[in-house]
Amino acid sequence: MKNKKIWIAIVVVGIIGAIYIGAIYIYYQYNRPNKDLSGVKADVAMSAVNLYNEYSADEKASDKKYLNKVIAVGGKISKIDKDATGSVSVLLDAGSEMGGVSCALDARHNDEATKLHQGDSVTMNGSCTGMLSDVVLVRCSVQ
Amino acid sequence: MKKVLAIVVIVMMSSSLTFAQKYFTKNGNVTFFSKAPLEDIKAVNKKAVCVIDAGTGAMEFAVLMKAFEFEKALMQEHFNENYVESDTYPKGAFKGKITNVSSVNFTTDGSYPVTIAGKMTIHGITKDVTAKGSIVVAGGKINGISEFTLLVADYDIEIPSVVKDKISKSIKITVNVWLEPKS
Repeated sequence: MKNKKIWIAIVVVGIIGAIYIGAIYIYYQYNRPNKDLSGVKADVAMSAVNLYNEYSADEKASDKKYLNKVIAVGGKISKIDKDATGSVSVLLDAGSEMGGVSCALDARHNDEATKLHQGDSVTMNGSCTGMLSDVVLVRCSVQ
Repeated sequence: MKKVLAIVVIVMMSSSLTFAQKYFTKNGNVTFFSKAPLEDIKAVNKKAVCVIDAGTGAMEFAVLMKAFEFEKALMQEHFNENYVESDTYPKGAFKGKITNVSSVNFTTDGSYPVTIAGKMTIHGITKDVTAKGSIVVAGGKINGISEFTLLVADYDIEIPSVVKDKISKSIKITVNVWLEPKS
């Protein structure tokens, strides 16, 4: 008899515990912020020239290959833009007049832009979102 | 005869100066906002490409859906996977016209109210859209601002029935772009 009571107590405590853990997990998932990619190992490492050329040649195939992937892209800085809201974009030269690889900095890494200058060679880590006139990477940081 | 020629040349030059001017940016801001009882859904895209032709009033926008950044990762994943299906439809676009472009003086600083009409493509669906906005001319650059509402259902975006009552059926879009003359 006593054994049965203990078992019931254990089960009840177990269920309550599971609910708690579940709730904490859901709460954590729900509030999970976008990951800072600076410490994340890139899925692919390549040059801005190669990435841009691949996209120019076949956008659909490149989307399949690179969308949502973290890319470490290396190249020469052709322009650094800061807009009125303080967002910084670093444009990497891809050897084309039409466009390059545009890296929008993660707001947590905006201050890294002060260390960069036009003409510098740099590697940026960011998530590929596709191509408009430039290939666009977001949530970027300097490696 | 020479005088006539000179006048013709001057007129041609001045018209090409005032009418051929295009303005351009690759770093436009497009925000979307949706009111929800639990919390507001908000995302910013800082990489919108925008071109405005000051002569004809023609205007084009393009955004990458995956470049919309949410504060919460889960929202961003749901937005991309369940709503706009950005793997299949990676881009959104607007192609239209400033209908009252003649009332905007691109060479004189000031704020000009404008009406924009054109076609919006999201999620593979194209719809007519009209929006009010303003063009602020300052020192040769222009700032385009507009705010309008889109209906989710217009673009064949299904809201799962579980959250149907919790998510607004209309989305407020705010556009804020700074354009520079295109050489």
